Amino acid sequence: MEASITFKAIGKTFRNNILLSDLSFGVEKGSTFVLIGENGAGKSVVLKLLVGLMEKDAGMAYINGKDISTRGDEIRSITGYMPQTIDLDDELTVLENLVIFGRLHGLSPCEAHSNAVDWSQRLKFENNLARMPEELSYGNKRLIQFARALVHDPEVIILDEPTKGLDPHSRTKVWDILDNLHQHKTILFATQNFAEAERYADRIAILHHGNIKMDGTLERLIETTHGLTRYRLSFSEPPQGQFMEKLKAFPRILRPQVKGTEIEFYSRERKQFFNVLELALQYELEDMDTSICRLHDLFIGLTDGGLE
Amino acid sequence: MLKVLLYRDWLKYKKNSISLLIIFTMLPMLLHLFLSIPLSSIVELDMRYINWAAPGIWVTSSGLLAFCVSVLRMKKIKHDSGQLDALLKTPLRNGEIVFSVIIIGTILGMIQALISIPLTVMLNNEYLSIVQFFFILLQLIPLISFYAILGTLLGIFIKDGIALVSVILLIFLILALSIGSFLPLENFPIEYVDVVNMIPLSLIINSCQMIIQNESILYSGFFLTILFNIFLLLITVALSYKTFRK
Repeated sequence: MEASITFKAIGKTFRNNILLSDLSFGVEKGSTFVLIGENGAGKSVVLKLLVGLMEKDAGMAYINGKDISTRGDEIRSITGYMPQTIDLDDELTVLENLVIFGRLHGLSPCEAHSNAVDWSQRLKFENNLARMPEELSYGNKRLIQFARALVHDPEVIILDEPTKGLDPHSRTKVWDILDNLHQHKTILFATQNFAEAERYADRIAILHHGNIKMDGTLERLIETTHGLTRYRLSFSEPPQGQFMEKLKAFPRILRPQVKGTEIEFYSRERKQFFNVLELALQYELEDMDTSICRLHDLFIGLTDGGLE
Repeated sequence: MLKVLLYRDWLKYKKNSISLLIIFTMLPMLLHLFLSIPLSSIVELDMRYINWAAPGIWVTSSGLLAFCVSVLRMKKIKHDSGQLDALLKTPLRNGEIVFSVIIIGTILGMIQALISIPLTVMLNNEYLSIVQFFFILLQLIPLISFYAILGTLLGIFIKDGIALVSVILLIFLILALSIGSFLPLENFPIEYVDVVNMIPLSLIINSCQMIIQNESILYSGFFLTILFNIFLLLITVALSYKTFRK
């Protein structure tokens, strides 16, 4: 498939901090790609570099075959970007905000107006069109920012935590729209919501300290855990140190952790779990839960010293 | 794109048209009341002082307004509202953002001059022909643009409110009291006068004073200010490329 976004060995430092180091990845046309990572991992920096809010120090980046360094204007006209922070113009009404940004992306006044009204109806904020942004709630402002990113019908949609601060209804609306758009557009978003990443992304990249630790489809990422399972045991009282010592002595029990009255650990071998269960039954075990490793576990493992 | 940015500013200023109109009329009237009238009883000239000081009112009011509009607009875009990032993610070029701020500052400064001139003429009971009016406006264009460009340039760097107030106060003092607008340069030490006479802005004020006295007009200040404006504009645009995108 044709690449829509290409990042080749990108490096970026800011005030002596390395934000990105030798970062490379590609996003196929018509696919949804998500960047996940802890705070400060460099997710927003990647998105800002793509829309030209930041400039790279090293490497090459392309959107639809156009170099972001030399053809930034063309790239920005086909790109819709929603930042993490509110940056609506507080001296213009909601409608004026949308129309102006549509026109700045090359739409005629009529097109910009009709697209703005259309998006307000689709996202159900048409009653707020004549209001000033400061009169609206945080969630409503985020919806308007989402509409503003799409008002010029961009080929590439770049979203920084698109559902942050949205209520469940609005979140569903946003994802329904992105689901409809994703067959014709390239969507790149950054999030810390793993459920959304698992549900909506075709490919996922885990960013850590400015570089990609792992990327691929969800299935491929899960495969890399080789059947690793998370186990959780609940006790009536916080487990004693003696129990933890015995648990740690079991072979192939990974990352045992006490969380209040619960103990969590990972293992690939069910037999080992049965052995632990047998031990736990001697310590007022109340409940237990097992789950196949998901993105959240993989992320914790990769960014916090590994699961092994 | 520049047209859209100017339309955006038009939408904003349209909402504040009443307060702008109050500023446009109050600023020259207050300068007349608190500077021209009191100084008229102190400063002795061959001609009537309040007539001589009229160009000072035009220059100070329009220059100050152009400076304030540009510095406040650029400060807001760059530092206060996240507007710069919002604009930079559109196909706009940095230069277009800078130009829009300068153009708006210059236009509002010109409107201020258009209101200040007839208002002062009325208050002073003097007569100004259409031709004189036209030549005065012509002379003021580069001066107003200079303050609009200077405001835009400083707005890129000024983050702090106190620094902004200090700079505006400084600009007012320079405009009103140091380049021969309200205080005749004869009252200053000769060394200072020699320096001020080399400043193109001072030549423009001098030229406006000559127009109302029906004397021949000096164009050296006009052209030198235009040249200096081009130089300052290039610096401002270059700095915008250096500072807007991190």
